[in-house]
Amino acid sequence: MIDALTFTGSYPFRRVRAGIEDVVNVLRPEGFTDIFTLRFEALFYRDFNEGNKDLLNEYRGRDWSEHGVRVHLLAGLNPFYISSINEIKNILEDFKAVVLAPLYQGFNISAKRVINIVRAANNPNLPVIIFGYLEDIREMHRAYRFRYSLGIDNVKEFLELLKKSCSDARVALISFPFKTLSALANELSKLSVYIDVSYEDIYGPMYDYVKALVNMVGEDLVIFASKTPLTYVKSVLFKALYSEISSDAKTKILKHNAKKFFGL
Amino acid sequence: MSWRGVKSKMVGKPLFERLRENGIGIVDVHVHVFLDNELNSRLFHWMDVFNIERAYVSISPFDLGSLNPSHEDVAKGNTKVLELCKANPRLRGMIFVNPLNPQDIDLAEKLLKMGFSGIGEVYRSTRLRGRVAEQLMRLAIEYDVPILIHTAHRLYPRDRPNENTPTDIRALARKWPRARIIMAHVTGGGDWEYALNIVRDVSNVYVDVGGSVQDSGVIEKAVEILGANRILFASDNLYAQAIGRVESANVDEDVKIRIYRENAMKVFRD
Repeated sequence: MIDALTFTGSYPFRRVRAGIEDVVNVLRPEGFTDIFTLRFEALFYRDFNEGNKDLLNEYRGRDWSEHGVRVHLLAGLNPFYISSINEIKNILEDFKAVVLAPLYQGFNISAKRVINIVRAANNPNLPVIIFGYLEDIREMHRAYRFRYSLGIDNVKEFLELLKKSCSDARVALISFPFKTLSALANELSKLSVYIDVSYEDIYGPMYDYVKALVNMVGEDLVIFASKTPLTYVKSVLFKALYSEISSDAKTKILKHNAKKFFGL
Repeated sequence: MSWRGVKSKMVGKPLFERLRENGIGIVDVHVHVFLDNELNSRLFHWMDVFNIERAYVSISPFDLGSLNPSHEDVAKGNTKVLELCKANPRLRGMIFVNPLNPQDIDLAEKLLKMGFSGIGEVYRSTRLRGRVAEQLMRLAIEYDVPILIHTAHRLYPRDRPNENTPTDIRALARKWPRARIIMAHVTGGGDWEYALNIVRDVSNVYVDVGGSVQDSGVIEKAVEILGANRILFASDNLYAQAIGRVESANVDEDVKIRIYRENAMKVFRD
């Protein structure tokens, strides 16, 4: 199984700290063989690249295959903290994908520069993750009130720009509210934008969250991401394992779709 | 690789499955049934999947048409619960009450005499303060049953009107020390660290760990702050997340078993 998004480093608002080994130790017993990880500090440091460097430093010099898993690195990137798009090739060396997190890095998702980054990242063949929310919206820490929102209109504008400028780019929206995804389901399907199972914000009569996502965009565009160590991995995993979708669909979600998205 | 191949790579069986093999089931203290029987059938299916042996059920507040439902709607909901409990031995009835309807108190007393197991989920028509709370709390104490109260655990960006907060729960518990109060779904959204700390010193408050929030550490923190005996398993109808929460927690298995069933049996005197 493949986990498309985990975190290492320190989350600033709760006692959540983890190194790569900690994340591996949580996920390997569940049967994960490929783990993609991003450093929290690449979202929260003003100079995001310091977080990326921390991740690289931790990763290098260890043979992670000894742990029975492959660890892949994700780079955080703030499009407005670099002087030119050309810089990103140096930044992204050694990383498997780029993560843009408008809420945490503080920028507007529908800015033209974001699209330029998506295009440039795809040029060296790196997919782009647009990251939504670390936490349930209702528990966001009072210390931060961001200027930027990730409302339906913002995401829609981004998808329209994507369609115009680089419709074949590999893009995933990770950890977005169901309401946002369902409002944009058509656009997501047409552009083959991937979505994931980590968020949970539909309540009421026994919703099968993963089935609802599959019904929304089809079983080929849903990938598994747990956000370990922020979440209990089994809470996310059981949603997929016990979903009333077909076995084939589960296999795609837990493995094959992520392979395609990351180009493994 | 086939789906079976993926599943076989999971190391170890989850505790809820091992309990099932030993004939031991889980007790869910907070779950809602519906006026629609098809939804109830689906609910019972998930209860089977996740080894729920006993469930304390109340009518879904969203089936009552309003956050401030009429006495007639409340009565209709409770009648449905009674009907389902008679037909399904796994279910135990909880009485939905709108504290703003004076007739609901009489109805609650009647249902308690008929064997309902508790009061709640007291939902979002009003905050339980002063006289509004008094009759309800007296009833819970007189009939020696727990009262399950919907609580919002400090929401971003602000609390909602008519919704109980952890400070309301603390005040109630202090005023009515003989009442057994279940503060609903500490993992249902909001600042759960705040909520746990606010009720730390009121030993007649129990927390249920149902709801949608998947944050790691919440069970461990609840055990650290409240002790293992004040935490009750609940789904609030979201079984995969709720079971996954307990299964993932880094606490001893005997603590998990207390959460899964033993604490509930003590609180409900069952």
